[in-house]
Amino acid sequence: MTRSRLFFNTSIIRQNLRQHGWIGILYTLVLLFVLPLQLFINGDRLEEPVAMDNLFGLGIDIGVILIIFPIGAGLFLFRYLQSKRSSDLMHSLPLRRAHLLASHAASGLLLLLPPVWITAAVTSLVRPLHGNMYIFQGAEIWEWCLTLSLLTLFLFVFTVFVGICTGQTILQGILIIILLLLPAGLLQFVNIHLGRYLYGYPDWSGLYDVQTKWAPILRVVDLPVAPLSLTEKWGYAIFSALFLAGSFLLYRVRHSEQAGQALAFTYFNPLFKAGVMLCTMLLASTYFGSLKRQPGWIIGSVIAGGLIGYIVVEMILRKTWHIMTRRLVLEFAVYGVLMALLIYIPVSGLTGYENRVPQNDKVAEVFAGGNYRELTENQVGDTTRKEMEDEVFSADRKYIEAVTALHHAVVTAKPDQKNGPWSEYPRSRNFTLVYRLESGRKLMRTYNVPIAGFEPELKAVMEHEEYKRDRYLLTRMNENIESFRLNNRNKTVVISDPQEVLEFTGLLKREILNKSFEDEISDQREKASIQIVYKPDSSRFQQNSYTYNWNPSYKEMTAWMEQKGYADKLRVTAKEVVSAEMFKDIHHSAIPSRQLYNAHTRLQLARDEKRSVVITDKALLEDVMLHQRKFTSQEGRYVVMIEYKSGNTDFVSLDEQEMTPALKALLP
Amino acid sequence: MIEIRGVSKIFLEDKAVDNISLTVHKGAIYGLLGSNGAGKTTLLKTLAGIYRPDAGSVKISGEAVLESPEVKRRLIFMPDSPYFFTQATIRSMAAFYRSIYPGWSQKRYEELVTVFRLDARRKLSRFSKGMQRQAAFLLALSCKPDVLIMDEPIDGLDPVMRRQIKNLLFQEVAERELTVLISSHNLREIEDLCDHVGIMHEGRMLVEKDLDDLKADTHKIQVAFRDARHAAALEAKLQILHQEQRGSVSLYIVKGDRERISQAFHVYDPYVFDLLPLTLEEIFIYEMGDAGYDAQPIIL
Repeated sequence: MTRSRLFFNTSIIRQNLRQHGWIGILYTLVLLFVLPLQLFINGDRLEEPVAMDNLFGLGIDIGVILIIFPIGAGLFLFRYLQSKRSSDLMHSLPLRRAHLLASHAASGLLLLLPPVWITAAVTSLVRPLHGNMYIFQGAEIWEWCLTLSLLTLFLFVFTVFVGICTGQTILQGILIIILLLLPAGLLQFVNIHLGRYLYGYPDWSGLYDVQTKWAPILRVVDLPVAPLSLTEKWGYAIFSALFLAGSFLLYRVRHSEQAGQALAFTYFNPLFKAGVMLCTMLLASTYFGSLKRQPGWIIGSVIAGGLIGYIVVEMILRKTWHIMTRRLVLEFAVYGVLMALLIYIPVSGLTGYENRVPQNDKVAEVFAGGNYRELTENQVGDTTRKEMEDEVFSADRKYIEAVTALHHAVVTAKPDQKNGPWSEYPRSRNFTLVYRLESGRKLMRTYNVPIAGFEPELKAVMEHEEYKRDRYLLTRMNENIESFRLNNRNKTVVISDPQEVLEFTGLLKREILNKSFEDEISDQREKASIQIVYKPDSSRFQQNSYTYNWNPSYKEMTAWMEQKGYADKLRVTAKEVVSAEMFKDIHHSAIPSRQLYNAHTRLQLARDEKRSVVITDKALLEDVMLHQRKFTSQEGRYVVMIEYKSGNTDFVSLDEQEMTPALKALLP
Repeated sequence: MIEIRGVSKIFLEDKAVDNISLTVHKGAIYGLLGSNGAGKTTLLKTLAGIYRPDAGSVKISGEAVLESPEVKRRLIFMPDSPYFFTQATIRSMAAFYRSIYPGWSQKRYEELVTVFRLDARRKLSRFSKGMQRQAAFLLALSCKPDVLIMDEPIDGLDPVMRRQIKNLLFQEVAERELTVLISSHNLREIEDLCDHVGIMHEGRMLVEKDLDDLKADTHKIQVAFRDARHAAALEAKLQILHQEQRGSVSLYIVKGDRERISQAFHVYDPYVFDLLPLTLEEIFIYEMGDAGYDAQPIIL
């Protein structure tokens, strides 16, 4: 009598342990292999002890194990719900459902948690032993133990919850995996979908973070690089409690005769149907949309995707493939239209998303440029740079006006983002426009803006100091600079004299601030690239690997470089050229589109058509070196392949007006 | 003892049990008859507290069964095919039942193991179907329940075992007023076992009878009247379930007191008069024919 008053029924637990005890034993063995044993096996390869921040990166990826065991245990223990005969027996016993559930859940945790704790205990026992090549503290073991306990608990409880909602073990297993991945997958599809059809939609930069956070299966794989944060630990604990509570609540109203049915609660059916349809529709449109751009293909693929999803769900729910009825067609039509609207409305323009440009006076701060992400996003494990986000915004009214004007011009003309003749780099600029509005909201758009046709608007933005500050990371040109490293092909100059560093920093800043729009978009080839080396202890900017240029148009800098004698050291002359071959870059239509950007293919074409000529004359070579521009894929320019003595080959372009008559005369 | 009032159970769109009420008194053996799909199993599982009824109430000794451990402790449900845990033996199942059912009698269990001559240490999965059924029966009786619900229990048992189980049941009923509910699709299988019978068809209860009453109450009469008008006069006086004419001989199935019927016929001094007892099977065929059902496929 006393036994039944307890919340757990020991008979059930004993029976479960007798029947499924192997899960616990196997889990213990696997965990012992993954952690304590690896300390010694894996450590053999190391020559000296290695310090570890966390114990997840010891060679064997714990992700799969962590997914298989808790979910497997949940499937086995709650099999009693899904098989008719065992369900009848269990529900005829003199036990309340709450007792049944509590006892089975307790059995599962008894199978799953002691292995984790035993492994942690063994690890702390063997840690000081000779042969352990890893250095870590007791805290790391605690961390490991807590993380594994929480994730094991969460995955097991989630399996139980899904088990209560379904009536088939196989479907339960499949659904668990799908649901654990669904947030990530759905967000990915939605992101791709919006990115493809919504004009100006910025790729969601924080997507990966969000995905891993909300998709435990992905999160588990990430453990070696990113241990669970405190918030996440609480999150898993809270969600475990919620799913457990949900299981108890739903189990009370669950009909035991649902054993064998797909879903135990028929009111989940519409949600299930709609969810699967939405996923298959988005999946199909994502897949076919990336291969075929015609609207017919895309609409067709969405319909086909929806149909397949609907048929699959119907088959699962009715447990037969003979599902064809007249009602089915009607129901499919209803679901199809609803889902299609759900997919279509956000990208339809009905929401006003595409044309929305904030009014100047509503904008508090603005950012414009192509490097928003690099400026504001953290690398995995790096927490130092996030604070920069505030620094990249500008409250300058003139600048805000210039940006909104550009934004207006773009959404009015709506240049094709991907297929325009100008779409590749030198003829367009990628812009992310981010507004912080007075209302506190943030508005963000991304456009690929062609230069042609938008010159005045682009000029107003790109010549502005605020733009340049972000574009060229001017705030990072500060007193922490130790030296500059200048490179031109295989030549290097280091400016490290503190006085010169100071002067050069000033010069570079000035030149950049004075740089005109025309310079900004020109394809002039730099005289040298400039890299900044920071002082060793200036931690915040040590990561700055941005490369600046010494452009021919930087008159002041050029004069300084000449005066200091650095210019000569960086100059590459005709003497260093082994050979040069020139051709007029035409007949692009003869090149397969996949190879269009391959300069060698173009040269080969020119050679085949006998349009190329080898330049041997040193004076002519000097001409080429002087006028060389960056190689671009634009048709109709002159291209020279230069081979240097150092062994490098380089393609450069020459403009029509810069071709000397002598050079022109060479060509056939 | 068992009171079922207005119980309905719906699976998806199908009404498996449709507004059924029945009462089983303590110490009775109630037979639930019906063809496959009549709703017997559903009714029994609802009674055992496995299914939640969509309407109506199921009570044992005045207490609702569903989610009530106190009631379920005195109740055992034996499904049509016995279920044991994987790898279980009679011994390990006994240990499980012993820890769950407070009424468990180890003495009874040991007695029964010798009666059935089953190997308690052998894996139940290696037992034949009939042996598994015996094992389930053994375990059920060892729990000393007050109510035993058995779904198609006779299926797959040899006549000797059937006899034995029947005797055990009678013994339990006699000694400690065990209440038994048995379902079957075959009347002949349980007619010598039950004292009450209910017939289910398409979820509804067609007839419910006390068998002893029935047998005493319904009679088959073969008669040849001297005058055809006698027949018409007689039919007005008696409760006639069925009538057939075979040449000059009439066949009547009549309900009522044997003596009274006999007297009624003798008034007309027929050429032939035979009053015969009916088999249960015949009674049901006539009763249900009267209610508009063809009994043959329902219970036989």
